Amino acid sequence: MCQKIGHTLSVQSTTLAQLQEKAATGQEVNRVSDDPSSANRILSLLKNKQILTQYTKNISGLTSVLELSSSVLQSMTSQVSDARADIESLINGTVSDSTRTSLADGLDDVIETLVSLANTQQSGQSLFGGSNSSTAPYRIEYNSDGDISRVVYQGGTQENMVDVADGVSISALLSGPSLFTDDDPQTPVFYGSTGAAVGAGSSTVRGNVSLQVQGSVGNWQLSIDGGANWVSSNGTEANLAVVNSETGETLYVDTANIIQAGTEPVSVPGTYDIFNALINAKDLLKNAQNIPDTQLNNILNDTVRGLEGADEVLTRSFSIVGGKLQILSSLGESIEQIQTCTEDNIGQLQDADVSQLAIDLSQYEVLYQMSLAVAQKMFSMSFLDFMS
Amino acid sequence: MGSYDIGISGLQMAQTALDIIGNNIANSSTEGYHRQDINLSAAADSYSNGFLIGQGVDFTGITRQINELLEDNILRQNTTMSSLSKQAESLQTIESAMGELLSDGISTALQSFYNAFEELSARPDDVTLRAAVVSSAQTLCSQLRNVASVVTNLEESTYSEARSTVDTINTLAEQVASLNSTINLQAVRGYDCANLKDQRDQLVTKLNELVEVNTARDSSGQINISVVGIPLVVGSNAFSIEAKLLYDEGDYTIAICSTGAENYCTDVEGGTLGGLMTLRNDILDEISDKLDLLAKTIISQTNDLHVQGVGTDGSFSTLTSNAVSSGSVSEYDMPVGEGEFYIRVTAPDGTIIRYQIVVNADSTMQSICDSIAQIPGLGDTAINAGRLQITTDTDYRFDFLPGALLTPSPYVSLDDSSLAGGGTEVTAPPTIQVSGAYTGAVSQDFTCTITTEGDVQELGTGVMTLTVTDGGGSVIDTVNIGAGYESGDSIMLSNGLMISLNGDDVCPGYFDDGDVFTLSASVLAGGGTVATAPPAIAVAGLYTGDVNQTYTCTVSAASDPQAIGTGEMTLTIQDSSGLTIASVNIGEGFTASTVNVTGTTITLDNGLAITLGGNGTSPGYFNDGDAFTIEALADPDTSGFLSAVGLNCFFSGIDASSIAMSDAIVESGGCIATSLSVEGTDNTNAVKIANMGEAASSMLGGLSTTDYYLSLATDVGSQVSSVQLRYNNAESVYNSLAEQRDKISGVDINDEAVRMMAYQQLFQAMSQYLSTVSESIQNLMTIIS
Repeated sequence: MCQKIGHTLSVQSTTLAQLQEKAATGQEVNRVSDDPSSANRILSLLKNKQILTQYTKNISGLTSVLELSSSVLQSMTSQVSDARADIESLINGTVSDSTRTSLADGLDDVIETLVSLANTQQSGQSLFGGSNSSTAPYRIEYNSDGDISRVVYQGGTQENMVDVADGVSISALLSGPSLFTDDDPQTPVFYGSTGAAVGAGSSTVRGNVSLQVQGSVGNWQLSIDGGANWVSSNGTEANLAVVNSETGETLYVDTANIIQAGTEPVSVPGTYDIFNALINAKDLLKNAQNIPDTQLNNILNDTVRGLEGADEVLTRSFSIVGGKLQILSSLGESIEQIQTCTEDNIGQLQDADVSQLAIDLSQYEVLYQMSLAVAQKMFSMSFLDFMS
Repeated sequence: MGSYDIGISGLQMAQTALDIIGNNIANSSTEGYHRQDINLSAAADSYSNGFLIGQGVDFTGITRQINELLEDNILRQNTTMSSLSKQAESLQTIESAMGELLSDGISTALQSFYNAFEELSARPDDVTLRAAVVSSAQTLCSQLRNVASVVTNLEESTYSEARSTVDTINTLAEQVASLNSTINLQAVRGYDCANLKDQRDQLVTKLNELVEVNTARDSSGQINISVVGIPLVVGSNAFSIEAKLLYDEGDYTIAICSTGAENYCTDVEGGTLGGLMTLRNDILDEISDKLDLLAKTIISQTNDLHVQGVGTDGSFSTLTSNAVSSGSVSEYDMPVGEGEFYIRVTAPDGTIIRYQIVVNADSTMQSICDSIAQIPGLGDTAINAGRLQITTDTDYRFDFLPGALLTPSPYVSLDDSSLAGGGTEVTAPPTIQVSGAYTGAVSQDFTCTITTEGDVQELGTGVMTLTVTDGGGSVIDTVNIGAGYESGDSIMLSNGLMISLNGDDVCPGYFDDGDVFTLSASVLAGGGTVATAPPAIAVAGLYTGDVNQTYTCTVSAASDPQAIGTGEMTLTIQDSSGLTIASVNIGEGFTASTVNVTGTTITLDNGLAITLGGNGTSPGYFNDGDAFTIEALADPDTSGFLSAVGLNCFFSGIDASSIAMSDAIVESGGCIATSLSVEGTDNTNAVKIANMGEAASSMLGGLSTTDYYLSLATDVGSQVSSVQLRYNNAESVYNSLAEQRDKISGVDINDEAVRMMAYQQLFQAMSQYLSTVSESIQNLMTIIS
């Protein structure tokens, strides 16, 4: 009898302790052994929740970067549009040299502002440096006169993809050239009167270059890097490669019709980037090579068209960034819904039914007290009481 | 005077009965006591006055109220409960240590570790995120070590407790044997010692709580006891047993045997000892093995990826391995297979050359060290205190990056078709492997001639030399490949190429005297002048192929030399097997790259992108037939050597109890290899490691590490639940049986009180009877006198 009473009290005491633990934690399953099957599902859901939380953090981080990128691109678009309008107004009217110089100086500021914008960083990461985001992606190079000679990209050509959902990854730190460069090269246009013409080879020069021709008939020398590298011609080559020793760019020239020495302005439509298009415009405005006005206006017109191309690239970039933001927003909402659903499932499996818990507690408390009372009664009754 | 006899027999019987009742009441709380009843019978009749008249009552003995079948069942439940109780205690300890649902357990730590890499992949150069990766990895390591430590402690304490339990069993066995002897002696004298039997049964019950025993009663009433066939008590003799640890196939198991004998038994069931042995030999062992396998998989998966990459600290000037055995690589704790690993060495002028180090079953740390030390720029590589230390010369750097080199290698072809060896499969010539990069300025054939003591001589035996002559017939190298040369050893030639001669299990490699093989090295010359120099060739992108490949790119041009981007010109790309994977136009319409802008990109399906560019003075010229090679690696260490010895590893250790962070990573988060590109700025490796959390692993039976751990945690929880359930069932059965036993054998004071009153009244009645008989006789005597 004692053993039975003891066992009953022990079982009830254990049950009360379990109910108390559930009431204290508010959870039906406090350890795996409480309900292995449910625990397995809970742990699996908790893991999924952790993964989803990480995706949410990634989306938040990428969105922040892309929003700033969008803002910067908007500023750059505005700068380029203003500069283009200034140059167009100059082409259409008659202006003095000082006005041109003044506008050229103004373009220097625009270029520096654009480079500064293109080098914008967030949390130490360059927005437009691609995978190499720790250093400023664009560097301005100046010539010996202190003028801007070119803008060089030194970021990464690859972009780091970040997982934002299962099997979905997106890059936020974009590679500058893909945003700021028009990459639709067309046949180079020769504006000068040397007689040099475009060769059949695939030239790699971009924007505007000056082809210098010197020598005499049958013994020409050609250069596109200011005379650093001269290429000899006997005036019969239909496809002579003239290489820029600094950049490695090649201009294929048909030399058969060269009739005189001189400087031959050459522009390659569809190859402008926003920086070098403005540098070309600035150089043309300064006109250090004394290009005749008619030719100058023609080249400026082409340069403006190049700027339009670069502007279109910027606009396209704007929509690329916008598209990514839209995807991220949509993904973020979906993941948030899945997260909520996951948390609901975890709650359903793990959370204790408080009202049921209260009823159970009350029930077992009564049972426990009753057991104690019965035990007391049973131990107090004895036949010995009736013996005298 | 029969009446007196009747009265006396009644008084004696009543007195004895009261004694027995008193004994019952006195032992009503004695554990293991069985209620005793007095056995009575009417005394034999006696002839008196022509009638047969009874002569009172005879005392025939005392009966222990015991149901042997019931007692056996109780013993069985008792031994089961003891066994399950031990298992439940330990399993609950492990469950608590794992901490799942109670707190942030290993599952949280494991996912946090992968999440930290995921987060780092978004900003690979962020110092804070690198520190977060280190922190999360340390948490994971400490949690795994903690659980492993709990399991190990339980294993140790289980053995210690098993030995202590065996000591108690031996003591109890001696006591049972002693009681056997006493009971037997009393039985011979004609006494039934119920109390001694109860004492003995109580000892057997205690024994059964410690280990499930088999009992058998002999004809003299003695109990013989054995444990899984090992005798413990035979009559009045006790035989001791002992517990030992047996080592078998990497696992220790507890076994018991007779002291001094070797009749080991590991499948003891029931009782505390059975529970301890089941725990140690099956449950803990399995949990420990699974935990170790999980840790090993995490270590090897992470390290296999980590060794390939570089962090923000870039390539290395020195790397030190863990201390490993000086024996062959097959003896290492972590598996090393036959294969090779590749080291990329960057010279001070930026030239990058990749060298192959062959690893076979016989390779040792020393032989691999010697091979590495031959590589230009890594001459200071040595073994210090059992650790391989790769050290560069000044301004050299090295790494193990996969993918393709930025600049392709000059085309080198091997012609070993004239080698015949002994002419059979088991006497075939060795396999020749070539790596490095030809450093000569002109294309030429190098003739490698073998000189042996006789024909069909085994590589690495006797006197055998390899003589290398250049295209002009001048000897540039003479190398020993006889005694002292081990298969797979690297030979660095003066022309920048590194070769190794490799045998295998079937054939160690044989040469004939005068055997010759040829290395044809060709360089791109273009038109031979600065203005007609060959193009700058660049390879970008991350190789996505599954196997290591050497791609051969061959130019078809209409004229010699011909500038890229002009006329008709084709580049044909073939893989290692000679299969053409691409044939692209590099003539007119093809745009060369410049300093600022990437031109036409030849994008291959395997992720690689080839560009050709002018070099500042020349637009880039090829001759017809020009060729170059692109070596693309999917796995820069097919042998697993780097991971096994801890070179550029993330984790160190081999199992759950030894897993830890690599010292280099702890010292500098910049060493976390997030990148697989030369620039060290991409996040490819970080993404790969982050994705490992959900990647199926063959080591884990197709489960991912996170899922495998969930399965382990659930398994432990299920075992706890199951053991508890079985314990509760056994306890219920035990309580039910105990209740039945109490009814049969228990002492109910009320019952005893009633019986006491009955015998008291009997005593009084018999006294009255005697008094009446006496008075009758007195009256009779008065009449006579």
